[in-house]
Amino acid sequence: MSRVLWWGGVASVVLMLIGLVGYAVQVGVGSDSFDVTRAVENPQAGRPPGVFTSVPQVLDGLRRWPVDPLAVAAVGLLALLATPVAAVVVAFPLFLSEGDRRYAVISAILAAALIGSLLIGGAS
Amino acid sequence: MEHVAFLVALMATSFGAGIVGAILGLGGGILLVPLLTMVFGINLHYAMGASLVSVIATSSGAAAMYLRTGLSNIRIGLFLAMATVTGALIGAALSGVVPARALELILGLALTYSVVVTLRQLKVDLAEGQPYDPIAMRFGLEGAYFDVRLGREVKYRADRVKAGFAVMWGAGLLSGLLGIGSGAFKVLALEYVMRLPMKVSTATSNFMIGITAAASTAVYFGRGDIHPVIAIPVALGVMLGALVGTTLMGRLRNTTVRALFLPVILYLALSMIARGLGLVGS
Repeated sequence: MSRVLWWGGVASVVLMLIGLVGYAVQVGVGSDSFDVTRAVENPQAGRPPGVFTSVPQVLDGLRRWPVDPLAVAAVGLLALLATPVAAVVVAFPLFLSEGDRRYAVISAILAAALIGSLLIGGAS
Repeated sequence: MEHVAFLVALMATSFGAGIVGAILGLGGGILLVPLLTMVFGINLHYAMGASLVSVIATSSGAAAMYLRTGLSNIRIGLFLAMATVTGALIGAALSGVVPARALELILGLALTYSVVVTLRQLKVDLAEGQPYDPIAMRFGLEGAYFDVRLGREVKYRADRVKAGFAVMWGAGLLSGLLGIGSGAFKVLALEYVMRLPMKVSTATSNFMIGITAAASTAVYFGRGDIHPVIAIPVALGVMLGALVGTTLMGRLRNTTVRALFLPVILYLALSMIARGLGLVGS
């Protein structure tokens, strides 16, 4: 479990860093018109292009060429989100192998609730 | 270049919040939301989304270390996570509907309370005894750890599990509603209500924070409140700051250092309350 948390965290941080540096290079060069400050102050004025709200949108950003750096960063964000969920999922077989059915059921319920919220949040 | 400067400033502020958070034993989240909204003028919902992401990032690293040392109790953590996750999902859904002013007011009050808990933590002693709570017996909410300071093994068992479960539900609700880790409230349930040793409480709370925040973050993500350009520099900054802060903690050992930061935190808390009450323009 500790290994899942550690490596999940490391992998997502690396992805987020790559995405962020890529984005900084992109806007630093001045090729992009996305105005951070405007998006920050007035989010109701419309969804700024940098905000992904679903997994399909993120995948779209990855398929583009050159790859959208913010989509890479979003994959890092999603990986980070999935890390604690993965730790709970890993707990299920661990409890089963210890013969602790009560806690196998508890970890299964938790995993189902977390994956459910991820799916509902990520698909809409 | 203006954007890059913005990113750097955001990261530097988060780095500072991470250091202070680690020294005070609060997560960075509860400090971040007021800083991001008041200093950077970032929309409250984006600030809460960024804070949640940073909470998961710091908790994953720390939880991995605590799990290896055996201080966090996985069974107690998972059992109570059923309460925090349900609370967090409801809180996260509500935070999209509740007016920003009310959220600011609740955040200010939560921050004030956290300061009180931090002050009390400065003089807490190890509680001994083996309570016989029927739920704790049935679900094996007990364990043992080796206390370095005492030089012996300490056995513990949870007490007043029903009340602890209820407080945990509230901690989850606040976490989802305000985009914070609500570690102070989780420690309240573990240490004060269920009477677990402080080290076990802190370590177990850390393990639970990531799970709780993951549930809320999914809801925030679906609503579009996780802005990568804000959330990522903030998360990276807080992580680095927390790392430096924990290293500093080992060297400083001085409780007066903690007391130095408290007025600053109190100021943040009062400003949030004032904004919530509409006393200052937001």
